[in-house]
Amino acid sequence: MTVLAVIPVLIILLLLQTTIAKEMTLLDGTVDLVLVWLAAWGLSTRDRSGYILAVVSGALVAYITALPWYIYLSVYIAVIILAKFVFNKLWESPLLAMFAITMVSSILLYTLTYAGLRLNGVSYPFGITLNRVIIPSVFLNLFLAMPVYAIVKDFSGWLNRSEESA
Amino acid sequence: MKKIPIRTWQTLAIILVVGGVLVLAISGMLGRIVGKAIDPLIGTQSWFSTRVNAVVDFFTVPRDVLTLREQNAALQNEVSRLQSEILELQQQLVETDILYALLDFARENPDNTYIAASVIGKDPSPFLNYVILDHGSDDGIFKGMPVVTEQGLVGSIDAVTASAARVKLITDQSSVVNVKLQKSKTEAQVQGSITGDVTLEMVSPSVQLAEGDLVFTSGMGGSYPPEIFIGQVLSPQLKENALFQTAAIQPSVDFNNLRAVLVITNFKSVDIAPLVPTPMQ
Repeated sequence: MTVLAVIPVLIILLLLQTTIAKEMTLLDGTVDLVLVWLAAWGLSTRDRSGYILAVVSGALVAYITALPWYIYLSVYIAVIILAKFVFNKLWESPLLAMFAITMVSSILLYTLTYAGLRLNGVSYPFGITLNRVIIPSVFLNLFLAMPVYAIVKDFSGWLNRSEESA
Repeated sequence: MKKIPIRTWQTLAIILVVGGVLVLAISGMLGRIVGKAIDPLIGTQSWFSTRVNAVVDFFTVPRDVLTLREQNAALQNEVSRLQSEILELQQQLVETDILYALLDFARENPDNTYIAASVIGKDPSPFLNYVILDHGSDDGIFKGMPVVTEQGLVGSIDAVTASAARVKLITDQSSVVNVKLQKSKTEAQVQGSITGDVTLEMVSPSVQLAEGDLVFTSGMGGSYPPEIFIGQVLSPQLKENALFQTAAIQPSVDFNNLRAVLVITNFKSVDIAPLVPTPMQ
């Protein structure tokens, strides 16, 4: 039930990602709302719903984007794995964990994107890509990490309460 | 002595009084006297009127405020409705302007057949410059079809679904368009970049590149039809010992505000990849 309730949210986030988020750029970097949401979801819930959501959202983004399909799918699953690992093993300070996961997964996403495009024969100048796309995008993701975490934490709590009362 | 009758005295008194009043009126003294006599009355009247009005207001104004509040709320609702209607109409006006411009372009270029489509999104990755259209294969759009606006070349269809299509913009890093320059009478390539800038590449150093030279598609390579406007040469650069000179291009299309486009449906792009010779192993 939780998954069914969250999928529409992810679809809305994806729509925002392809419209408003692409207009609000920092240099040439843009925020990845789905990635930040998944990182927060992985930290806020203890069940396995994060993995299903990662696969669904990865498939949705892969359907829309011109990037190789495996990039978003693998990174979104990695975000959840990382969130569970950090939350359970390393430390239990969710705010620091949220920042760490967002940063690591953003870097992973953009590194994989760079490598994937290179494998497909599109070469990007590394210096410009790093300065104008990767660093600004990571910064934007970090900027949104806290507010998104607060929203997701409340939302997941509300969903849990609703499920328990039902 | 004969006694004068009282009636005569009365008549005389009346005549004197009337005469006196007339004399006073003619001399202008009457106004001042009447004014001095009436002023206290007016003051009293004003004082009384103010108190009466205050009492009347005390009983009637609350009712009026309620009515006014209701009217104010109704008017505010009306203003909000009209404002949203104005915004909607302005939006429609902008869309109509764009569609009229596209229609003019289509009329001026009757050789091609077009499908108008709206831009409904962009690729989520910051590495790519792609847009998504609201028309797909059900509307007759297929991979490889060129996409234009009234301003010039936008890109080509990269992928289609039944009801949507993805367009690779000429600003994308992987996009290469064969072009010709109007003044220089030479052929070259226009290449996109990750920052969305467009550059002219593969221009021989012997060619005199001029700022403002117009860039059109050449039709070479079979990806785009010829004579579609792309932009103007901005700043030619010839580095020492470089094999080719380059130049920044100012694209004619505003890619940041791309709202509606035309897909050229009667042009079939040619995939020349199998014809490109590969090095012998």
